[in-house]
Amino acid sequence: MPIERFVLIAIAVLSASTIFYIPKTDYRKAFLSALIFQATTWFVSLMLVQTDMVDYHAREFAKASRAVFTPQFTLYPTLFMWFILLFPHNKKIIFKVYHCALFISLNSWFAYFAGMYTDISEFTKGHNHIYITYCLFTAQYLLGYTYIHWFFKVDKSKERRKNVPD
Amino acid sequence: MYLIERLIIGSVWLICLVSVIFIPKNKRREATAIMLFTQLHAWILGSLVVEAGLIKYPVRELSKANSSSFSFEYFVLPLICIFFNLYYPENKPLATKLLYYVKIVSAFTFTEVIVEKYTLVIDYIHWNWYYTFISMFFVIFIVRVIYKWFFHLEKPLSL
Repeated sequence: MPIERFVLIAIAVLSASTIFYIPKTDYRKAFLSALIFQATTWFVSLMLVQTDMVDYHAREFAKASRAVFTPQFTLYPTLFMWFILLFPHNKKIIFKVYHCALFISLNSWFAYFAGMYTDISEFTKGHNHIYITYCLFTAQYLLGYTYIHWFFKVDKSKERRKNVPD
Repeated sequence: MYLIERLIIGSVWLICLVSVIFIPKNKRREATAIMLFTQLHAWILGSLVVEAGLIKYPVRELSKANSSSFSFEYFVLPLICIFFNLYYPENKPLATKLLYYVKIVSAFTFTEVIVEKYTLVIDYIHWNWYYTFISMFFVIFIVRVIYKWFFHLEKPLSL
């Protein structure tokens, strides 16, 4: 089995297996977090291919898209989902910064190493810099976090209004 | 070159962007969620039909990166689902609900068939209008099921 196929299957299985650890009360938040990240990462990967910054060689839908499907559809959204679910809201700022750095680094280094050591992706000449990966994932995390925060803040304020005695 | 096709794609984007204004302010939150629910299906199904050689999109955006229709999967279908769900006749009889489904899906199918016949925006290879009708019906229904489950509405599996 080529290493690329192994990596793609492994990340899909690993991502799927973590679903069972989601607390029942957080199903909706988890689902929406994964979806928002899927949407942004799909757009970003298409843009990277369109602008010749990245080439994906081991693709699941080789005819339909020049972007790779499994990491964008499973691993990255799952990592972001756990980033949201485990976010230390009530901790000091240093813990929050550490949390962000950890998850963005996990994402970025996976993408970077996949490009360096496998044929899943290949950074075209001049674009194989870890900071580009960091910048893209940081932007996506920021956007995703802002959206989830806004979405569930409105939800909470609605609940608060409901609980106000007449 | 491909002036009509480019005009159609440009107009579709323009119409979609303008239609966003008509989403009621208090429904924006729901609308964003419906958009994401739809993209999930559109992305997979869109890739599958192109991969299987059932449909081709000869003139498209992001043509280097994608062989399926980015506009349709990322914008058009999600917007159809947003308006479908926001104006759904929830408290009406089953026949009215069914008719609502048929009206929306038929309007889309008819437009797609016309576009397929006279332009290169979409090309049916091993595909028929009724495949579009059935798959659209199915996707819209699944998105509605997820929407009802997500927002704690009653009987998510019913029409």
